[in-house]
Amino acid sequence: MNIWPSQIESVLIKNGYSSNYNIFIDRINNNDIMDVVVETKNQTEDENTLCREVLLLENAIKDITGIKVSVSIVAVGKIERSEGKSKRVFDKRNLY
Amino acid sequence: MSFYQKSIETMEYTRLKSMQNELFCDLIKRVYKSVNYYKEKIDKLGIDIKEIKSIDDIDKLPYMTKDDLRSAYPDKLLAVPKSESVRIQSTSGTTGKRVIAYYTQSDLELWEECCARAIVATGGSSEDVCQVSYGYGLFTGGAGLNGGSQRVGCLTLPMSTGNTNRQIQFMIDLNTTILCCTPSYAANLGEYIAKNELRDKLSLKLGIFGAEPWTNELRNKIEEDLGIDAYDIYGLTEIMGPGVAFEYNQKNGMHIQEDHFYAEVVDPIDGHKLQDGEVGELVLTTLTKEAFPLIRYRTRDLCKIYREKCKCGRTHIRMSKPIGRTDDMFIVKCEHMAFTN
Repeated sequence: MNIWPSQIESVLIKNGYSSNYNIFIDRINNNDIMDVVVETKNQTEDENTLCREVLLLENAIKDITGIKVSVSIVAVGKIERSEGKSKRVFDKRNLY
Repeated sequence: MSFYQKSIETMEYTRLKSMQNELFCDLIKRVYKSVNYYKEKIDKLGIDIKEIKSIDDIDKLPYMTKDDLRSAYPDKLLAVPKSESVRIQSTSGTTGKRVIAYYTQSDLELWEECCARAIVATGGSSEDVCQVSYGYGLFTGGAGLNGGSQRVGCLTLPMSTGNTNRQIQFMIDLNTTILCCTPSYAANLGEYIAKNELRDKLSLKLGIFGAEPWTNELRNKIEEDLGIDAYDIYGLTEIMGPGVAFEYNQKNGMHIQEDHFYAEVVDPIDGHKLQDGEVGELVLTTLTKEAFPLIRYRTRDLCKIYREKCKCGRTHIRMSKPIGRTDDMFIVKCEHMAFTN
Protein backbone atom coordinates (compact mmCIF):
# COMPACT_ATOMS: atom_id res chain seq x y z
CA MET A 1 0.00 0.00 0.00
CA ASN A 2 1.23 3.50 -0.80
CA ILE A 3 0.92 5.93 2.07
CA TRP A 4 1.46 9.67 2.14
CA PRO A 5 2.28 11.42 5.41
CA SER A 6 -0.29 14.04 4.40
CA GLN A 7 -3.04 11.41 4.67
CA ILE A 8 -2.13 10.84 8.31
CA GLU A 9 -1.79 14.58 8.95
CA SER A 10 -5.29 15.31 7.72
CA VAL A 11 -6.84 12.53 9.84
CA LEU A 12 -5.10 13.76 12.97
CA ILE A 13 -6.05 17.42 12.52
CA LYS A 14 -9.64 16.55 11.57
CA ASN A 15 -9.88 14.68 14.87
CA GLY A 16 -8.66 17.65 16.87
CA TYR A 17 -5.00 16.69 17.26
CA SER A 18 -1.99 18.89 16.53
CA SER A 19 0.33 18.49 13.56
CA ASN A 20 2.99 17.16 15.91
CA TYR A 21 3.18 13.49 15.03
CA ASN A 22 5.68 10.83 14.05
CA ILE A 23 5.32 7.75 11.92
CA PHE A 24 7.56 4.76 12.59
CA ILE A 25 7.74 1.90 10.13
CA ASP A 26 9.40 -1.40 10.83
CA ARG A 27 9.41 -4.90 9.36
CA ILE A 28 8.78 -7.89 11.60
CA ASN A 29 8.48 -11.43 10.23
CA ASN A 30 8.21 -10.18 6.68
CA ASN A 31 5.30 -7.98 7.62
CA ASP A 32 5.45 -4.21 7.81
CA ILE A 33 4.14 -2.47 10.85
CA MET A 34 3.34 1.20 11.17
CA ASP A 35 3.14 3.12 14.42
CA VAL A 36 1.69 6.60 14.62
CA VAL A 37 2.62 8.66 17.66
CA VAL A 38 0.60 11.77 18.40
CA GLU A 39 0.31 14.19 21.30
CA THR A 40 -2.81 14.16 23.45
CA LYS A 41 -5.49 16.80 22.90
CA ASN A 42 -6.89 16.55 26.43
CA GLN A 43 -5.77 17.86 29.76
CA THR A 44 -6.74 14.71 31.60
CA GLU A 45 -5.23 11.43 30.56
CA ASP A 46 -7.30 8.73 32.22
CA GLU A 47 -6.84 5.24 30.82
CA ASN A 48 -10.37 4.79 29.50
CA THR A 49 -10.44 8.01 27.51
CA LEU A 50 -7.02 7.30 26.05
CA CYS A 51 -8.00 3.77 24.99
CA ARG A 52 -11.13 5.08 23.33
CA GLU A 53 -9.19 7.76 21.49
CA VAL A 54 -6.51 5.35 20.34
CA LEU A 55 -9.18 3.07 18.87
CA LEU A 56 -10.95 5.97 17.22
CA LEU A 57 -7.76 7.18 15.54
CA GLU A 58 -6.71 3.68 14.46
CA ASN A 59 -10.06 3.24 12.76
CA ALA A 60 -9.97 6.67 11.16
CA ILE A 61 -6.49 5.99 9.74
CA LYS A 62 -7.58 2.58 8.50
CA ASP A 63 -10.52 4.18 6.73
CA ILE A 64 -8.24 6.56 4.85
CA THR A 65 -5.18 4.41 4.17
CA GLY A 66 -6.65 0.92 4.20
CA ILE A 67 -4.11 -0.38 6.67
CA LYS A 68 -4.12 -1.22 10.32
CA VAL A 69 -1.72 0.94 12.28
CA SER A 70 -1.02 1.15 15.95
CA VAL A 71 -1.53 4.57 17.52
CA SER A 72 0.11 5.83 20.70
CA ILE A 73 -0.95 9.04 22.39
CA VAL A 74 1.78 10.80 24.33
CA ALA A 75 1.93 13.92 26.50
CA VAL A 76 2.13 17.38 24.89
CA GLY A 77 5.73 18.36 24.21
CA LYS A 78 6.99 14.78 23.79
CA ILE A 79 7.34 15.11 20.03
CA GLU A 80 10.17 17.23 18.75
CA ARG A 81 9.06 20.56 17.25
CA SER A 82 10.30 21.48 13.82
CA GLU A 83 11.72 24.90 13.04
CA GLY A 84 12.31 24.31 9.34
CA LYS A 85 11.42 21.33 7.21
CA SER A 86 9.87 18.73 9.48
CA LYS A 87 10.99 15.13 9.74
CA ARG A 88 8.02 13.01 10.69
CA VAL A 89 8.59 9.61 9.13
CA PHE A 90 11.18 7.23 10.52
CA ASP A 91 11.52 4.16 8.36
CA LYS A 92 13.56 1.66 10.34
CA ARG A 93 13.41 -0.85 7.49
CA ASN A 94 16.19 1.02 5.74
CA LEU A 95 18.58 0.28 8.55
CA TYR A 96 18.80 -3.43 7.87
CA MET B 1 -6.85 42.35 -6.46
CA SER B 2 -3.37 43.75 -6.71
CA PHE B 3 -0.49 42.72 -8.93
CA TYR B 4 3.22 43.26 -8.85
CA GLN B 5 3.58 43.06 -12.66
CA LYS B 6 0.05 43.13 -14.00
CA SER B 7 0.88 43.15 -17.72
CA ILE B 8 2.86 39.92 -17.40
CA GLU B 9 0.64 38.20 -14.87
CA THR B 10 -2.52 38.79 -16.88
CA MET B 11 -0.97 38.43 -20.34
CA GLU B 12 -3.27 36.95 -22.94
CA TYR B 13 -2.49 33.26 -23.48
CA THR B 14 -1.50 33.46 -27.16
CA ARG B 15 0.98 36.21 -26.38
CA LEU B 16 2.29 34.27 -23.41
CA LYS B 17 2.74 31.19 -25.61
CA SER B 18 4.65 33.07 -28.28
CA MET B 19 6.86 34.57 -25.61
CA GLN B 20 7.50 31.06 -24.26
CA ASN B 21 8.34 29.81 -27.77
CA GLU B 22 10.94 32.47 -28.22
CA LEU B 23 12.47 31.98 -24.78
CA PHE B 24 12.47 28.22 -25.17
CA CYS B 25 14.26 28.20 -28.55
CA ASP B 26 16.84 30.56 -27.16
CA LEU B 27 17.25 28.36 -24.08
CA ILE B 28 17.92 25.23 -26.12
CA LYS B 29 20.54 26.96 -28.26
CA ARG B 30 22.30 28.48 -25.31
CA VAL B 31 22.28 25.32 -23.21
CA TYR B 32 23.46 23.14 -26.11
CA LYS B 33 26.32 25.51 -26.74
CA SER B 34 27.46 26.12 -23.20
CA VAL B 35 26.70 22.96 -21.20
CA ASN B 36 28.62 19.92 -22.30
CA TYR B 37 26.50 17.63 -20.12
CA TYR B 38 23.38 18.60 -22.09
CA LYS B 39 25.15 18.49 -25.44
CA GLU B 40 26.32 14.92 -24.80
CA LYS B 41 22.89 13.86 -23.58
CA ILE B 42 21.14 15.37 -26.60
CA ASP B 43 23.72 14.08 -29.12
CA LYS B 44 23.57 10.59 -27.66
CA LEU B 45 19.85 10.45 -28.39
CA GLY B 46 20.47 11.62 -31.96
CA ILE B 47 18.38 14.75 -31.55
CA ASP B 48 19.07 17.57 -33.99
CA ILE B 49 18.44 20.78 -32.08
CA LYS B 50 17.62 22.56 -35.35
CA GLU B 51 14.39 20.57 -35.26
CA ILE B 52 13.37 22.23 -32.00
CA LYS B 53 11.33 25.09 -33.40
CA SER B 54 8.77 25.77 -30.71
CA ILE B 55 7.89 24.78 -27.19
CA ASP B 56 5.63 22.05 -28.58
CA ASP B 57 8.83 20.23 -29.62
CA ILE B 58 9.79 19.88 -25.96
CA ASP B 59 8.61 16.24 -26.06
CA LYS B 60 11.64 15.38 -28.19
CA LEU B 61 14.00 16.29 -25.39
CA PRO B 62 15.03 14.00 -22.53
CA TYR B 63 14.10 14.51 -18.90
CA MET B 64 16.56 15.64 -16.29
CA THR B 65 16.42 13.94 -12.91
CA LYS B 66 17.98 14.48 -9.54
CA ASP B 67 20.48 11.76 -10.50
CA ASP B 68 21.63 13.91 -13.41
CA LEU B 69 22.13 16.78 -11.01
CA ARG B 70 24.06 14.59 -8.65
CA SER B 71 26.35 13.23 -11.33
CA ALA B 72 26.90 16.77 -12.61
CA TYR B 73 27.94 17.89 -9.10
CA PRO B 74 29.38 20.41 -8.41
CA ASP B 75 29.38 22.54 -11.56
CA LYS B 76 28.96 20.49 -14.73
CA LEU B 77 25.57 22.10 -15.43
CA LEU B 78 26.80 25.64 -15.00
CA ALA B 79 25.83 27.47 -18.19
CA VAL B 80 27.81 30.70 -17.72
CA PRO B 81 31.44 31.33 -16.78
CA LYS B 82 31.95 31.14 -13.02
CA SER B 83 32.95 34.80 -13.06
CA GLU B 84 29.37 35.69 -14.09
CA SER B 85 27.80 33.68 -11.26
CA VAL B 86 27.28 35.63 -8.07
CA ARG B 87 25.60 33.16 -5.69
CA ILE B 88 25.01 29.52 -4.92
CA GLN B 89 22.21 27.91 -2.94
CA SER B 90 21.97 24.25 -2.09
CA THR B 91 19.42 21.55 -1.30
CA SER B 92 19.40 20.10 2.19
CA GLY B 93 20.74 16.78 1.00
CA THR B 94 18.22 14.78 3.06
CA THR B 95 17.60 12.34 0.20
CA GLY B 96 21.25 11.96 -0.78
CA LYS B 97 24.06 14.09 -2.13
CA ARG B 98 23.47 17.83 -2.12
CA VAL B 99 22.60 19.68 -5.30
CA ILE B 100 24.16 23.09 -5.89
CA ALA B 101 22.34 25.74 -7.91
CA TYR B 102 24.07 28.83 -9.32
CA TYR B 103 22.69 32.31 -9.92
CA THR B 104 23.79 35.28 -11.99
CA GLN B 105 22.80 38.79 -10.94
CA SER B 106 19.88 38.62 -13.36
CA ASP B 107 18.80 35.22 -11.95
CA LEU B 108 18.66 36.75 -8.47
CA GLU B 109 16.61 39.63 -9.79
CA LEU B 110 14.06 37.37 -11.44
CA TRP B 111 13.86 35.31 -8.26
CA GLU B 112 13.15 38.45 -6.24
CA GLU B 113 10.55 39.44 -8.80
CA CYS B 114 8.81 36.04 -8.55
CA CYS B 115 8.68 36.23 -4.75
CA ALA B 116 7.50 39.84 -4.92
CA ARG B 117 4.60 38.75 -7.15
CA ALA B 118 3.72 36.07 -4.58
CA ILE B 119 3.70 38.54 -1.68
CA VAL B 120 1.60 41.09 -3.57
CA ALA B 121 -0.83 38.37 -4.76
CA THR B 122 -1.65 37.50 -1.15
CA GLY B 123 -2.27 41.14 -0.26
CA GLY B 124 1.18 42.33 0.81
CA SER B 125 2.42 45.87 0.09
CA SER B 126 5.11 48.33 1.14
CA GLU B 127 3.00 49.10 4.22
CA ASP B 128 3.69 45.63 5.60
CA VAL B 129 6.22 44.31 8.08
CA CYS B 130 7.38 40.96 6.79
CA GLN B 131 9.04 38.49 9.16
CA VAL B 132 11.09 35.92 7.25
CA SER B 133 11.43 32.90 9.52
CA TYR B 134 12.66 30.48 6.91
CA GLY B 135 16.26 29.33 7.30
CA TYR B 136 18.89 31.60 5.81
CA GLY B 137 22.16 30.40 4.35
CA LEU B 138 22.32 27.68 1.72
CA PHE B 139 18.58 26.97 2.01
CA THR B 140 16.56 28.94 -0.55
CA GLY B 141 13.64 29.78 1.75
CA GLY B 142 15.19 32.71 3.62
CA ALA B 143 17.06 34.18 0.66
CA GLY B 144 14.05 34.00 -1.67
CA LEU B 145 11.41 35.57 0.54
CA ASN B 146 13.89 38.11 1.92
CA GLY B 147 14.57 39.32 -1.62
CA GLY B 148 10.88 39.38 -2.54
CA SER B 149 9.88 41.20 0.62
CA GLN B 150 12.46 43.94 0.11
CA ARG B 151 11.47 44.24 -3.54
CA VAL B 152 7.86 44.87 -2.52
CA GLY B 153 9.13 47.43 -0.04
CA CYS B 154 8.02 45.64 3.12
CA LEU B 155 10.02 46.30 6.25
CA THR B 156 11.86 42.98 6.27
CA LEU B 157 12.84 41.08 9.42
CA PRO B 158 15.52 38.49 8.53
CA MET B 159 14.78 36.28 11.54
CA SER B 160 15.75 32.87 10.13
CA THR B 161 14.40 29.86 12.05
CA GLY B 162 14.45 29.01 15.72
CA ASN B 163 14.55 30.96 18.97
CA THR B 164 10.78 31.03 19.18
CA ASN B 165 10.80 33.45 22.15
CA ARG B 166 12.65 36.03 20.12
CA GLN B 167 10.47 35.42 17.06
CA ILE B 168 7.36 36.26 19.06
CA GLN B 169 9.00 39.22 20.79
CA PHE B 170 9.89 40.81 17.43
CA MET B 171 6.47 39.92 16.05
CA ILE B 172 4.86 41.90 18.88
CA ASP B 173 7.35 44.78 19.18
CA LEU B 174 7.61 45.49 15.43
CA ASN B 175 3.98 44.73 14.57
CA THR B 176 4.73 42.03 12.04
CA THR B 177 1.89 41.69 9.53
CA ILE B 178 3.28 38.96 7.23
CA LEU B 179 4.92 35.75 8.40
CA CYS B 180 7.00 33.59 6.03
CA CYS B 181 8.20 30.17 7.20
CA THR B 182 7.54 26.45 6.81
CA PRO B 183 3.97 25.43 7.66
CA SER B 184 5.26 23.17 10.43
CA TYR B 185 7.10 26.07 12.04
CA ALA B 186 3.99 28.24 11.64
CA ALA B 187 2.02 25.56 13.51
CA ASN B 188 4.58 25.61 16.29
CA LEU B 189 4.53 29.39 16.54
CA GLY B 190 0.73 29.11 16.70
CA GLU B 191 0.98 26.61 19.53
CA TYR B 192 3.35 28.90 21.46
CA ILE B 193 1.08 31.91 20.94
CA ALA B 194 -2.00 30.01 22.11
CA LYS B 195 -0.21 28.61 25.17
CA ASN B 196 1.00 32.05 26.24
CA GLU B 197 -2.25 33.79 25.27
CA LEU B 198 -0.49 36.32 23.07
CA ARG B 199 -2.80 36.43 20.10
CA ASP B 200 -4.32 39.78 21.04
CA LYS B 201 -0.89 41.38 20.99
CA LEU B 202 -0.21 40.38 17.35
CA SER B 203 -0.81 42.41 14.19
CA LEU B 204 -0.36 39.43 11.83
CA LYS B 205 -2.69 39.35 8.84
CA LEU B 206 -1.25 36.72 6.54
CA GLY B 207 1.34 34.00 6.17
CA ILE B 208 3.22 32.59 3.19
CA PHE B 209 4.20 29.03 3.93
CA GLY B 210 6.11 26.56 1.79
CA ALA B 211 9.17 24.29 1.43
CA GLU B 212 7.18 21.23 2.52
CA PRO B 213 3.83 19.75 1.53
CA TRP B 214 0.96 20.61 3.86
CA THR B 215 -2.71 19.77 3.98
CA ASN B 216 -5.72 22.07 3.90
CA GLU B 217 -6.52 20.75 7.39
CA LEU B 218 -3.22 22.17 8.61
CA ARG B 219 -3.98 25.40 6.77
CA ASN B 220 -7.27 25.75 8.68
CA LYS B 221 -5.54 25.07 11.97
CA ILE B 222 -2.76 27.61 11.35
CA GLU B 223 -5.31 30.22 10.23
CA GLU B 224 -7.29 29.67 13.39
CA ASP B 225 -4.32 29.62 15.79
CA LEU B 226 -2.66 32.69 14.31
CA GLY B 227 -5.79 34.54 13.21
CA ILE B 228 -4.47 34.97 9.65
CA ASP B 229 -4.93 33.90 6.04
CA ALA B 230 -2.38 31.22 5.16
CA TYR B 231 -1.06 30.86 1.61
CA ASP B 232 1.07 28.25 -0.09
CA ILE B 233 4.15 29.07 -2.14
CA TYR B 234 5.90 26.50 -4.32
CA GLY B 235 9.44 26.12 -5.51
CA LEU B 236 12.57 24.02 -5.37
CA THR B 237 16.26 24.83 -5.24
CA GLU B 238 16.99 22.99 -8.48
CA ILE B 239 14.59 25.26 -10.37
CA MET B 240 15.14 28.50 -8.41
CA GLY B 241 13.71 28.32 -4.90
CA PRO B 242 10.34 29.55 -3.60
CA GLY B 243 8.26 31.60 -6.01
CA VAL B 244 7.99 29.21 -8.96
CA ALA B 245 4.25 29.17 -8.20
CA PHE B 246 2.13 30.91 -5.61
CA GLU B 247 -1.36 31.01 -4.18
CA TYR B 248 -3.39 34.19 -4.47
CA ASN B 249 -6.25 35.41 -2.32
CA GLN B 250 -8.73 32.73 -3.49
CA LYS B 251 -6.55 29.84 -2.16
CA ASN B 252 -7.55 27.82 -5.19
CA GLY B 253 -4.40 26.42 -6.76
CA MET B 254 -1.09 28.14 -7.41
CA HIS B 255 -0.24 30.13 -10.53
CA ILE B 256 3.00 28.89 -12.11
CA GLN B 257 4.97 31.90 -13.35
CA GLU B 258 4.88 30.96 -16.98
CA ASP B 259 7.02 33.78 -18.27
CA HIS B 260 9.89 32.06 -16.45
CA PHE B 261 8.85 28.40 -16.10
CA TYR B 262 7.19 25.91 -18.43
CA ALA B 263 5.19 23.15 -16.74
CA GLU B 264 4.27 19.62 -17.81
CA VAL B 265 2.83 16.70 -15.85
CA VAL B 266 4.00 13.14 -16.52
CA ASP B 267 3.37 9.64 -15.23
CA PRO B 268 5.79 9.21 -12.31
CA ILE B 269 6.44 5.56 -13.19
CA ASP B 270 6.93 5.45 -16.96
CA GLY B 271 7.31 9.14 -17.73
CA HIS B 272 4.61 9.38 -20.39
CA LYS B 273 3.06 12.80 -20.72
CA LEU B 274 -0.32 13.34 -19.06
CA GLN B 275 -3.13 15.67 -20.03
CA ASP B 276 -3.78 18.87 -18.13
CA GLY B 277 -6.02 18.02 -15.19
CA GLU B 278 -4.51 14.58 -14.56
CA VAL B 279 -2.49 14.04 -11.39
CA GLY B 280 1.13 13.16 -12.02
CA GLU B 281 4.68 14.31 -11.54
CA LEU B 282 5.37 17.97 -12.22
CA VAL B 283 8.13 18.56 -14.79
CA LEU B 284 9.57 22.07 -15.05
CA THR B 285 11.72 23.89 -17.59
CA THR B 286 13.38 27.18 -16.70
CA LEU B 287 12.90 29.57 -19.62
CA THR B 288 14.94 32.54 -18.49
CA LYS B 289 17.49 31.43 -15.92
CA GLU B 290 21.07 31.99 -17.01
CA ALA B 291 23.49 30.25 -14.66
CA PHE B 292 21.62 27.04 -13.90
CA PRO B 293 18.97 26.41 -16.56
CA LEU B 294 17.13 23.09 -16.46
CA ILE B 295 15.17 21.46 -19.25
CA ARG B 296 12.35 19.09 -18.32
CA TYR B 297 13.37 18.59 -14.72
CA ARG B 298 11.38 15.91 -12.91
CA THR B 299 10.46 17.54 -9.61
CA ARG B 300 9.03 14.35 -8.02
CA ASP B 301 6.14 16.52 -6.75
CA LEU B 302 2.72 15.07 -7.50
CA CYS B 303 -0.01 17.48 -8.54
CA LYS B 304 -2.17 18.43 -11.49
CA ILE B 305 -1.92 21.50 -13.71
CA TYR B 306 -4.90 23.23 -15.28
CA ARG B 307 -5.58 26.31 -17.34
CA GLU B 308 -8.93 27.78 -16.39
CA LYS B 309 -10.18 31.31 -16.27
CA CYS B 310 -9.18 32.56 -12.85
CA LYS B 311 -11.14 34.98 -10.73
CA CYS B 312 -7.96 36.84 -9.85
CA GLY B 313 -7.39 37.74 -13.50
CA ARG B 314 -4.08 35.92 -13.84
CA THR B 315 -3.74 33.91 -17.03
CA HIS B 316 -0.83 31.71 -16.02
CA ILE B 317 -1.49 27.99 -15.62
CA ARG B 318 -2.34 26.73 -12.14
CA MET B 319 -1.05 23.74 -10.18
CA SER B 320 -2.92 22.04 -7.37
CA LYS B 321 -1.41 21.83 -3.89
CA PRO B 322 1.10 18.95 -4.22
CA ILE B 323 0.12 15.73 -2.41
CA GLY B 324 3.78 15.33 -1.62
CA ARG B 325 7.06 14.38 -3.17
CA THR B 326 7.45 10.82 -4.39
CA ASP B 327 10.34 10.46 -1.89
CA ASP B 328 7.88 11.20 0.94
CA MET B 329 5.59 8.36 0.01
CA PHE B 330 6.24 5.06 1.70
CA ILE B 331 5.12 1.61 0.75
CA VAL B 332 3.81 -0.65 3.45
CA LYS B 333 3.58 -4.37 2.91
CA CYS B 334 0.86 -5.85 5.04
CA GLU B 335 -0.61 -9.36 5.32
CA HIS B 336 -3.81 -8.33 6.96
CA MET B 337 -4.97 -5.42 4.92
CA ALA B 338 -8.45 -4.13 5.15
CA PHE B 339 -9.53 -2.35 2.00
CA THR B 340 -12.21 0.23 2.24
CA ASN B 341 -13.95 2.15 -0.46
